[in-house]
Amino acid sequence: MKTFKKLSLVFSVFLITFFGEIAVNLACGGEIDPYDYYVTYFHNNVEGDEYSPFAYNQMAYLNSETDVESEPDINSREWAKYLNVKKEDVLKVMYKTDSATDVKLVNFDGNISQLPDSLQQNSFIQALSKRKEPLKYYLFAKSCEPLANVNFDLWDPKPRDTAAMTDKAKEALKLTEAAKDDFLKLRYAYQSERMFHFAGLHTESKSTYETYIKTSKVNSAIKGWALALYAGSIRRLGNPEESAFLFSKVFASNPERRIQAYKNYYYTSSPVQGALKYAKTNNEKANIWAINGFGNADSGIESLNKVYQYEPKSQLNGTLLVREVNKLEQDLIEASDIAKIGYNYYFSDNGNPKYKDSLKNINLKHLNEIRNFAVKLATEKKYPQPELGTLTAAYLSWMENKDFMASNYLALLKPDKLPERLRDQYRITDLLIKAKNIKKGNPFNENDLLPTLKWLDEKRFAENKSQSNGQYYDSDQAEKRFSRTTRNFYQQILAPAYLNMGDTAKAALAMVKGDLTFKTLKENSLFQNMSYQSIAFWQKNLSPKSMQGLAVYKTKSTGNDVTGLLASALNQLKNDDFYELYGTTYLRTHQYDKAVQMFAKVSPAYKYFNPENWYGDESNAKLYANPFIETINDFPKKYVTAKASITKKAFAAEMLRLQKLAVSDKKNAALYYYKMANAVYQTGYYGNSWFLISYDWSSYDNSNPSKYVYDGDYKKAQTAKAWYLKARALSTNVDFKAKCTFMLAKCLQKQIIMNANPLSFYYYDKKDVKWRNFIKANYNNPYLKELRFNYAKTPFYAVAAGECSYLGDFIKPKTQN
Amino acid sequence: MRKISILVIFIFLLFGCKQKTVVNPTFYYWKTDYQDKKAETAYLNQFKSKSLYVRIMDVDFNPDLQLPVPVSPIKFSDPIPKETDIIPVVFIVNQVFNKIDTLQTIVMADRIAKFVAAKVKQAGKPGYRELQIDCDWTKGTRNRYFKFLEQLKANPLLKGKTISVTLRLHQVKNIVSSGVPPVEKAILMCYNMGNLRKYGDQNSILDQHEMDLYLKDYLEQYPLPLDVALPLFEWAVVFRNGKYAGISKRIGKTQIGDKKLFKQRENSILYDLLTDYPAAGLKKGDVVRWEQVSAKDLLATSKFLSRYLGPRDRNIVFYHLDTDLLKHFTNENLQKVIASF
Repeated sequence: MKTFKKLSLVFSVFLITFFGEIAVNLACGGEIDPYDYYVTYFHNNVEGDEYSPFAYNQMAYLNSETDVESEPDINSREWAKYLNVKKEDVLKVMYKTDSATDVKLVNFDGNISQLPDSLQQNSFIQALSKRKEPLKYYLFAKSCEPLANVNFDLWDPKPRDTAAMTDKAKEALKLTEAAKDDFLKLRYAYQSERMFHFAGLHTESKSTYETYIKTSKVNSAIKGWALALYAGSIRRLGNPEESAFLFSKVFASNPERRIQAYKNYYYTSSPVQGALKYAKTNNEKANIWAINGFGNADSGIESLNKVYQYEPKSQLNGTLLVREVNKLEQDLIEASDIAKIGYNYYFSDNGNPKYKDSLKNINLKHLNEIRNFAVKLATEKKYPQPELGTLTAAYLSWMENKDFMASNYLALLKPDKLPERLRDQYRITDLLIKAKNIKKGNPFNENDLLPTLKWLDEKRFAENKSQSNGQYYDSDQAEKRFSRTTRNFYQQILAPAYLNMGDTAKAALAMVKGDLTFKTLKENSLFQNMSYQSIAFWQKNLSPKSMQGLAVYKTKSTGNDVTGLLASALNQLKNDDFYELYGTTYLRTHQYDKAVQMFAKVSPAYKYFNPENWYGDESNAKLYANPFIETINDFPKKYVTAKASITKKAFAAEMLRLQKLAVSDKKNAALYYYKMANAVYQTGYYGNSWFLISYDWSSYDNSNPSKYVYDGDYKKAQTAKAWYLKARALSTNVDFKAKCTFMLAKCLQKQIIMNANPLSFYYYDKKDVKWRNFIKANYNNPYLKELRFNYAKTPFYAVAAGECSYLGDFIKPKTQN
Repeated sequence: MRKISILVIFIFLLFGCKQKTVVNPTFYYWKTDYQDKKAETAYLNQFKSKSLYVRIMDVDFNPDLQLPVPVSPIKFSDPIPKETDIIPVVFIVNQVFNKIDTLQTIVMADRIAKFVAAKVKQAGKPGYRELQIDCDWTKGTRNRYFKFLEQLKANPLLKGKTISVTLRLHQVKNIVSSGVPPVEKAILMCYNMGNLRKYGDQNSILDQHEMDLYLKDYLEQYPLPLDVALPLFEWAVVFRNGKYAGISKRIGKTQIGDKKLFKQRENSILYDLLTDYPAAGLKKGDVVRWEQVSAKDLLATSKFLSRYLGPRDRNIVFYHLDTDLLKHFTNENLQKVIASF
């Protein structure tokens, strides 16, 4: 009973920590970059920027919240034309004044001398001072400004001054009627409409639009803005479907109001057929379908077909097509294990394989639909850039692993005749198809890729001009398409290909190359410039052999080939981290002489890795340990001060000394083996010096199967076990042998835990075979039996049985129920 | 036996000596636009109401802003009559306290205090004496809600003012898990006590059985002075295929009384819809539970409550001030209800 209770307690603590850790990891995990959450090579702006806010992005409502045209620019241009003045002057006065100047402008009566010098020279101001009617309008518009431009603060208790708005609206209406000049008449009417609108008087607002704006012959963007208000009034007055249709018209006609119109369209909650009821022309229908396509995160072949049917010439087709390609990338390109990007539900490990397969089949079906459309676009040539269709077909074929088909599509294009963005995409697609040939035994010469890789470097360096000092988020992330493409190519395609060929060193080179987005580096330590994925790959996967390979590659940086390109990237970085890791790989393989050599190459000032002490205050921010101490219990781990701690370098030296002594001082060899065994035991998951062989520690580690070279020590205490066995065999001292046997029992216990896979215990089923086997294995630990039967009379036995409750339980077991 | 007879005598004495309490009848004003309508103000005069409880706003958590924000704050198209004091009421959605910590509640308390002060000014009042916080707190939100109440109390804008809170029936019964809010007084909400969503012919607005269950053995011990809120409203609860579908605002007494539309189930408050009724989005076969409160019900409630409420001055607040609702009650009947406290 006692044992069972204790084990239950141990396990419940373990489970709490374990699942707590998962919860913490999920909660504290990095935020997903909305512009880099799936693997993409197909640039979402390949068809131009006209509809760039609507590029596919599942992580944000819109890919960008900035309209492609600016309302102030458009309005200033209209005024400049009307008054025959400079556009920049209008812009400055209308949209870019400070509050002090603003006060002066509100009271501007045409007398230019009252204004600051800078304004006196302004052609717009000069024109206003000479022309009474425009000045009158200008002042009126200024008087509406405080009512229209209100800071949005829900906690502001002040109600909107609807009475003042109504007054202004009525005043504007009178001025509209009186105005003789059509340009000003339209603007007065717009002021009236919007003041009525803001005051909530939608019927009045609507009639103002219908009487004065709808019929106006002036060609002005204002008519679109007025239409947007009118659409809003129509919704308020109870016709959401007509309202949706009207918003779709603003979406089409006024790029400076496109995002607002798009959002308002959806705000009406009108179904596509509702808006279509009001659409008469093909163009109107196409725009409604396009808006519905832009709002669709699932495969959207229907909107694509409809838009193409109604308006095959429109750029909407291209934008919608590229959106579909991006969706397919998200759903079909699985990130490589060594370079996971974000988190993709479809590709998560715990997905049911059957479900995954059926999902893949659906996505492949979509791919075929989209490719058929792309081919149609290319062959019918109704769309102004039919080459986009061919290129898309090529790219999708590559995605589907039909490389021959992809090459054939690509061969139909003449790259030098393509516009720039399409040509760039052509080049990327061509690279992707060629890179598939990097396989063992394939005669393909990888250096054929070199010109394109160099070109990609130039492209991404242009996107990343200077390295920032801080950790600030780079707001320009959305635009860094070549940086992502290049990194993805190196890390998702090239590195895994080298890995498949067995060249881990070259894979490691490719990982680093992918990360270096700047031409010149400010901080050039190796691990500071690597992404998390690359660091993890380097620190976990590299063996002494691959480090050796890397050292050789480092000498080949001058070559004009892919190897040279990759190696020169690594050579941009300092050697300290490199040799520290190199030494560590030797620690992991117990080649201490070589480890000493490698650590000797690390600069003396180098700070070896010590883990953060999450529970310590500032003076105890890091954990330091001495692996040579002896402990009976693993927990709590015994740490030491920074001064008493042992670095990797000192560890290697001491282990080398002990290794040599075990040979030269045969009489005491047992003791040397025991000391070495203790030290490597401490470098394990349960020890105090795990950071001598591992770069991270997580409570997860205990449940994940062994994967890396050093897991034999880190997770299973294999070397420690072998050396304890040696020590015990070489000794004749019974108490010493008792110690070795006890430690052997502990080493074996690590393997019992590893084999048990504690995850299966989360449901805590006492009758579960796995659970029973686990308990049984613990009871049947042969070393504990040996200890009890052969060494029960040793002094150590008494001490250990007192200190180690686990042993105590073993000695006096109670039946479990 | 002797003990029991002493007890009986004692209780008798207790009732015999019951002090007369002063009752101030008034109303909640729960619309989003205050207009000084003659008919409504007439009720205030009729009841000699010294004050009016006015809903200032709801406060709910806005997931986009990740902040608690005011929802539908009141607008004062007219000032509140001179002789009537305002008691501002702020309804806080319970989930707000699940979303914010006690540092954020300080900010919220400050914002509410400022917002209320400004709205009271807009109502044409120089100030107010009592602020009521309406929140259906639960065990999980209790601590943060209570902390918020203390923070509100400490706010300089509320210096010298009383804070009262609303109290649901279950909070009276489950006093251990619900706790007692750290304020001067509370108002017992004697409505919405039954299960609204459960199909059946129970009246979810006012139900004597529920009151017995939740109040009989507990109300007397409740440590805070209590005002009482009573319902005047009525509503149509719609069920489709035996499942709660919502409250229909388009079904009123007129529609319920229309024999072509509805057929009453014998002596119950359930009505079967005989035909599709698209104006209210209802379909043939839908069942409407027409819940209303009669003067008789109110009188029974007030008699029941007066048995357990301690003798003290008390506000009796009717929910809510609306001529359409009030026309179902005669002045005489309502005066009886008031007098029975």
